[in-house]
Amino acid sequence: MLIFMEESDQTNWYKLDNAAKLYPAISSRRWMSIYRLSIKLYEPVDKDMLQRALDITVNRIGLFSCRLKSGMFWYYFEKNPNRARIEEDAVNPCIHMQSRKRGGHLFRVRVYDKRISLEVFHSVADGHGGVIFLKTLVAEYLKQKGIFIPAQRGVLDCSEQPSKEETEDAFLRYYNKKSVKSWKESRAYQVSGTSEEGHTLYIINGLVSVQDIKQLAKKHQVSITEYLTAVYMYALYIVQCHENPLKIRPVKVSVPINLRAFFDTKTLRNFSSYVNPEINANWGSYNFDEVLYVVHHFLRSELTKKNLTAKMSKNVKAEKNILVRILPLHLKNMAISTIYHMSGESRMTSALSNIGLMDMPEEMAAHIERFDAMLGAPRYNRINCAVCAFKGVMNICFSSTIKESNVEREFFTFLVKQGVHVKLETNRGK
Amino acid sequence: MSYCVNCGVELERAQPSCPLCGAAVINPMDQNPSCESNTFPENRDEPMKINRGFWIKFSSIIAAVPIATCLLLNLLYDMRLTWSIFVSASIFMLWAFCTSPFFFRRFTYKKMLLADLVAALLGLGLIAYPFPVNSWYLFVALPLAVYCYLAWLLIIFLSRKKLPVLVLSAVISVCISMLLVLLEILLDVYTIGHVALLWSWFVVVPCLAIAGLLLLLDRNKEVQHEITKHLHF
Repeated sequence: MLIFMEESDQTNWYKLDNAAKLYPAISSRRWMSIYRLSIKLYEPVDKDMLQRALDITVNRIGLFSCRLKSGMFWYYFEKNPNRARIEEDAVNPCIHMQSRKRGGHLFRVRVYDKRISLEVFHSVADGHGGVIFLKTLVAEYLKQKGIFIPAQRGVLDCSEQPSKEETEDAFLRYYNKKSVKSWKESRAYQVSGTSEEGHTLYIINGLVSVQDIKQLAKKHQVSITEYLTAVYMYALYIVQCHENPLKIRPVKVSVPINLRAFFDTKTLRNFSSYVNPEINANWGSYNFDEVLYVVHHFLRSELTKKNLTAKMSKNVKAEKNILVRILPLHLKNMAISTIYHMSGESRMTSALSNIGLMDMPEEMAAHIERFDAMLGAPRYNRINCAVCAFKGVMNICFSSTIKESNVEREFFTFLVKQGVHVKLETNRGK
Repeated sequence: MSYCVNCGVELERAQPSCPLCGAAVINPMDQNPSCESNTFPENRDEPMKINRGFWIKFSSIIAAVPIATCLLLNLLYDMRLTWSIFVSASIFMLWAFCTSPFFFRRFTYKKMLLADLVAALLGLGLIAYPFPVNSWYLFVALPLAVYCYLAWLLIIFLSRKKLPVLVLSAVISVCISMLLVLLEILLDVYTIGHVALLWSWFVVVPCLAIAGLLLLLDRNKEVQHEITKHLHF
């Protein structure tokens, strides 16, 4: 039984959550917000078995088996009767879903040699939901091969009925209309460079030891996310100083926050917020320790339940505004797209999403070589970064739409100078 | 394993150059670097493509139907082409403006503006064709269309150069005043045979004054700040 029954037990549709509403409005014929998660096994993937595993997983996590439909005022998700198919992987990942050609599916499972990749349109689920889906899919695949994988540590039991909590709109549950943050944010520095034709997403994966990064973070008494964010901001700051030292804008890196750590919910849909630590070089030059100090204290002060509630409520309140609600969908799309064009990505230089350490049953981990996460191309900005760790190896993945790799260079050479061994993998020059 | 001598990072065996700095990777100890399996697949996903040929044909049929109908009706009732030429030329220009993006594989504003200029000149030429004695096309329409094309080109070029908004607005203001001066000169020459310049001053003087003010304002950050402070909303 599919879990499309949250809105109505009789119908097979559900409303988009607060964060999900943004993505269809700002999508275009060429671009949509996609992220990618990959698991590399020790053996080549059997596609037939994976297809069977996918059928079972989609049946369990029906949330993913949806298609986007237009209502009069809002988009909605409808149960997708078409079967999701396993696809071949490509050198240019996270390309537009072309969901009409693919039976309306808003995710795709791709295979290359030993690697299983999941690409998801962000409206469907956030990184947490994607990780659960991928882990359940791989567990089911291993079960097909006769390996017992217990349903624990983020692996769902496909013989169980899905719970309603998995599809709840947690934004609505924790929204507080009395606690609303201001919208005002200043413009940020945007990385410039030479665009490539033909929808190429340049990938540079840096593989580093978790232990090395942990030690560096420990030395400065900060968390790993804070340390990596500071290194990233420092790299962007250096690149900006070389690019145009006369016209300096604040460097802001958007760090997605998994709200499940602060609010109790089992939802697999979108339930994340973000914080934008900032350094403004107009106030003076920065060294790395100063950047790290700013990031550390900014994140600690922002990541409180009250502050996150206010931030979340800001968006939900806008969505609940009667004038917004009665505006026809296409006018709403135009308005959202214009606002996003004018003030969406221009308020941040880039994003750094730390998925964190991948936790999974030991029986399953024994068959998995590595775990990767990647963010698709941002619409207007040029570069994004995703981080995840598995079996002591941290994968820092930069996805960029420009030929130049100055930011990546500053980032990785900084780590090398700190004594961290970095191994790079790239699709550049292929 | 190979390392970049500049960046100090380890690279894949098959990597011919460092992706960070572009330095060539030469490992004399490794004679067969391509034998390592690639992390990334070889095949590429092709993005969604517009069927440009289809849209050109489709819009051409949509435009051809009213043109053919008008021409036919005109011929049937008047036995010659009169009013239908105006309608046909207008539809042709509209079709050309809307369809021109599909003629180019890659969108560039220079090509687009040039295509629009050619379409406008052809359309106006069609309207002027039945009146060979009347030379308004050569003396008014042609120079005006070329001026508009060059002015647009200049404005887009400057906006792409990220000129300050105030300076760009000043340039637009000057372009408008020049257009009106040109228009009056052309009309004067066409109608009375010499340049009188009577009415365009009423627009040119305020436009140039606005341009000057904008340029002054662009240089005075304090005034800008005060205006922003008092008028922000």
